[in-house]
Amino acid sequence: MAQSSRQLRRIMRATFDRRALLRGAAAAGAVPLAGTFRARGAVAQNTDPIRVGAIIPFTGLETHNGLSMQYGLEIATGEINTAGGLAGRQVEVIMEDDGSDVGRGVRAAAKLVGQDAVEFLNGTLTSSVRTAVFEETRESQTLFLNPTYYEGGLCDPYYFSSGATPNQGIEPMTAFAMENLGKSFYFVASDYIWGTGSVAAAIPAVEAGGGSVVGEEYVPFGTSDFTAVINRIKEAAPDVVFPFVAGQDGITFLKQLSDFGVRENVEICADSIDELIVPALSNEVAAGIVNCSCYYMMLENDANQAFLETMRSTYGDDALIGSFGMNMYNNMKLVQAAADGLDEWTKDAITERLREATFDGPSGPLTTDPSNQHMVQNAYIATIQPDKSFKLEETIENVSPQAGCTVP
Amino acid sequence: MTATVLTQIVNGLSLASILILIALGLAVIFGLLGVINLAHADLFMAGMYAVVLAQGVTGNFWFGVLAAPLIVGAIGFVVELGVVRWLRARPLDTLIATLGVGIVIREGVKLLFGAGYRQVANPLPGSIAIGPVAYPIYRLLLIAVTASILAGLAAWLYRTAPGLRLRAMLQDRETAAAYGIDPERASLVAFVVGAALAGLAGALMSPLVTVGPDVGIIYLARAFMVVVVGGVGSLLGLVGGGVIIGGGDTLAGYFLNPTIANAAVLVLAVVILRFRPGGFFR
Repeated sequence: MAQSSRQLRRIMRATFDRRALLRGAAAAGAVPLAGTFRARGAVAQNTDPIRVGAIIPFTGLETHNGLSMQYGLEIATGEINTAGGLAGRQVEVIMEDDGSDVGRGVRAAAKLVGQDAVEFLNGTLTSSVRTAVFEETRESQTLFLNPTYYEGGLCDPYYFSSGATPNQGIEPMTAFAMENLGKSFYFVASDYIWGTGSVAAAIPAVEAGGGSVVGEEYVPFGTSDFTAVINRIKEAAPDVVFPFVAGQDGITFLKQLSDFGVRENVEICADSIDELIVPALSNEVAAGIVNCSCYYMMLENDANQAFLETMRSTYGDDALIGSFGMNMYNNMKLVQAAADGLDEWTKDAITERLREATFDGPSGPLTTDPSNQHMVQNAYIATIQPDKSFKLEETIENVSPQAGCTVP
Repeated sequence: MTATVLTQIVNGLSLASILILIALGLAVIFGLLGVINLAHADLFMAGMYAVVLAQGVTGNFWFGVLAAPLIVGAIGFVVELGVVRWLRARPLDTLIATLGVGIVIREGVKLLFGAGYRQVANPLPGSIAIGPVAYPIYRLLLIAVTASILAGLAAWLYRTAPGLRLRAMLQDRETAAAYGIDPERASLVAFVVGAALAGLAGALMSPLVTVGPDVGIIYLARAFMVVVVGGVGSLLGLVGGGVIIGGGDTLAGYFLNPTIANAAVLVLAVVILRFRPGGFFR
């Protein structure tokens, strides 16, 4: 796997180098043919559609998020095209399945950037895929917008994230938990960059707030039995369990926590349990979980109502969307805002304008923080009710992102 | 102290029974037909969706447990007649073909039920006290159910006429045919029973784990390990494999962190296979 991804990177680099060479040559007028094309381009406006590459997990660990991300992406694209496109050009979306797998994610990015020549990338869910794709886009200077809350740490002039940073999800959650649920925490996380990075962000947040961490534990992907972990949680007797267990493993963990009777004395708070996850949980397992997210379907604002109406009339009444799907939408709308009034689409012009872009949509107001190119946004804390609906407890408005890095 | 030891023993038993349950269908098809059924994971998953379906129609989990072996056994019937039968002499081809069958089942479930996760509640919430230890009722029931299925399977194989025919076919296909045993029919029976067991396992596991179209695959590796470590082709080997892997996992999980424990069990399996290549109980 490592070798084939290295090979791919070489191929990608070769492609980009050739392009860069051609572009450089054209600019200098050294190649007559390229020079003619350029001259003609200046007379007639480019009306080719703007291609957007989307990397979405339709299979694998994060399958359940795939459709939601497609909905957000397609609804935004429809709205943009109806409103005249981006800088006068229609938008065409090319979706690739990353199978929730790093190798496939990198191949998808290589295909979209190299073969399809997309103008920008929107997507990735698991942190391992995002980090790998980021390495590629940083090198090839491809515009890349991330929809998923994550551990932070990625900064680049061409990288933007509407996905929340730890201080927009984890820290509000631990603060709320310490005030309302209890002061001692037990962290259980998937053993990869999102899990370890999230716990690394959560521990100082708990300690700064006067709480204590009585246990932290990392489980491999594909864990289907949490008996040993649950025994240790029982022995440690924390007030709150805060899981960062990815995908289906996280659901299995919640079910088994209830089976072993842990829920009788322990509260659960989370940053990853939204309206997409609760269909997998019985009412008894779901009720009482407290979660912090930057979007819920239950948010009461006009933009959200309009969005949900469009989604349900297009995809059916039982269509669901979570924060990832909503941020696929937000990313597109931020690009639309950046392209507003722009005569000609160029990567650098759009990137420059994205640094000042704002969009007030279904998840509330978003503003780019130019220092790290993540979004200033609201954090919403909600409790799951016995009927599995979400009840809004607290809105923390306009939280500035702390990505753990700044754009060079 | 005794409570801790007792807890670990029950944990080990519970995990071993779960592993045996998951591996049963694979072991039957592998052992009796020599076919490595890579669709096993998806037949297991189809069993989960039989529960989702039956629960949706009747509102009762237990109807799902009854329906799962029937529905998944029927899928097995079609797969044997349509695919496996034609490739029996070519083991590598059955490997690829069953992998493909698995994909078809997975995508079929996505078409019918959607790609999202589904809910299966624990039908028996609550715990029973065993001495000083409270243990979930449903997990204790699973230990008993797995033991019963094993006993039933053993009785069927060693005490009934169809079982005898299967064993005869396994020993020598041509001689068995010369004695009037229809090997095609016996193979069909073995495959359907294996598939039905995979479905039953999925149904019984569905309250404990996540139910979704892509979840089957994570159980496949474990099931293979149990079958291979214990020894292919014997029920005793299956039980032994389950106890070794389940017990090893529980012990390692108690003393080590889960990631290391996972690796430790793999190392244990490799060491066992190094010294007993045919499996521990062969």
